[in-house]
Amino acid sequence: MNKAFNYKKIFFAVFFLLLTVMMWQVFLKTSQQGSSINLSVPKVSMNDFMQEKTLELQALEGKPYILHFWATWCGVCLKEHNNWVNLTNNNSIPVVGVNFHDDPVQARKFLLRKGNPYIHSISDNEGLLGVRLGLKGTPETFVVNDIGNIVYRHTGPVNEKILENNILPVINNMSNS
Amino acid sequence: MNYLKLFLVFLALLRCECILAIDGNIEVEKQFNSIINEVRCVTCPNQSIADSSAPVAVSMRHDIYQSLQQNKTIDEVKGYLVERYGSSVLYEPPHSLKTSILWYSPFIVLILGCCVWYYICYLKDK
Repeated sequence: MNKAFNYKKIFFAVFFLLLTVMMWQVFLKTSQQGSSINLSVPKVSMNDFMQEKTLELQALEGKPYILHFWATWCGVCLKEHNNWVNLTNNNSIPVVGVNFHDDPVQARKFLLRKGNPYIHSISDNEGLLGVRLGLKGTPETFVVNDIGNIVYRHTGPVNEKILENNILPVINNMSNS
Repeated sequence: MNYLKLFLVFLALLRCECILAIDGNIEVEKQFNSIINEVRCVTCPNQSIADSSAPVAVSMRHDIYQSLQQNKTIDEVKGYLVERYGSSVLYEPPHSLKTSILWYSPFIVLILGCCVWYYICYLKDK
């Protein structure tokens, strides 16, 4: 009797284990869905508030670049700013800063004071570029390939470890291929 | 007299146009209010974008309104958001093979629970 009961316990344990594995697989699939990968950067004109001119995003195509969303009201963005200054000092990777839901005047003052790591600083006041790319919040970083498609995204602050282990290899792979 | 008639016809046409314009806006407004209550805020997932004041939610509302004004259907707008944020952006995810466990697992667990309850109450004593 005891033995039979144990078999049933084992059967239930295996069944629930399988159910958990299945649910985990579904979770992984759904979390990959809608991750913005392969979305293309919209071909729109944006205001470059540092160079005080209009920038066609299409003009950035031709080589890989980084699109970094930030804002002066976002404490984490201000904290990680030095990482971006160091990155652009040590590498020749073009980084485009997208100032999200912010006052470009404040952003300009901040960049002049703390250093400007961006080749272009565009203003996304209404946040429409952000929504088109599936932005979840600031700071958020997108790696865009030479034809304007997103190939990698990172939500949250970027430190040296993330840069070296996740972002730079993606860019180097594209440059080598 | 003829001028008066013409003027009245002109006024009537003007009124029709106003009514049509207002009706159009009301329809968009209804669709807009319906969608924003069904879409989850991606910054603060416990709120709909109707309730949230997060910058991304504000932009999503703006984008949805623009899309509806461009005569996009509710399904097209939802599809656009799902493509960017995944099906979890909707409070009611679509019924599909991928979401089948999400929709049907409560029933499976209920049936299993009933089986366990039946086993404990009736079969175990025998």
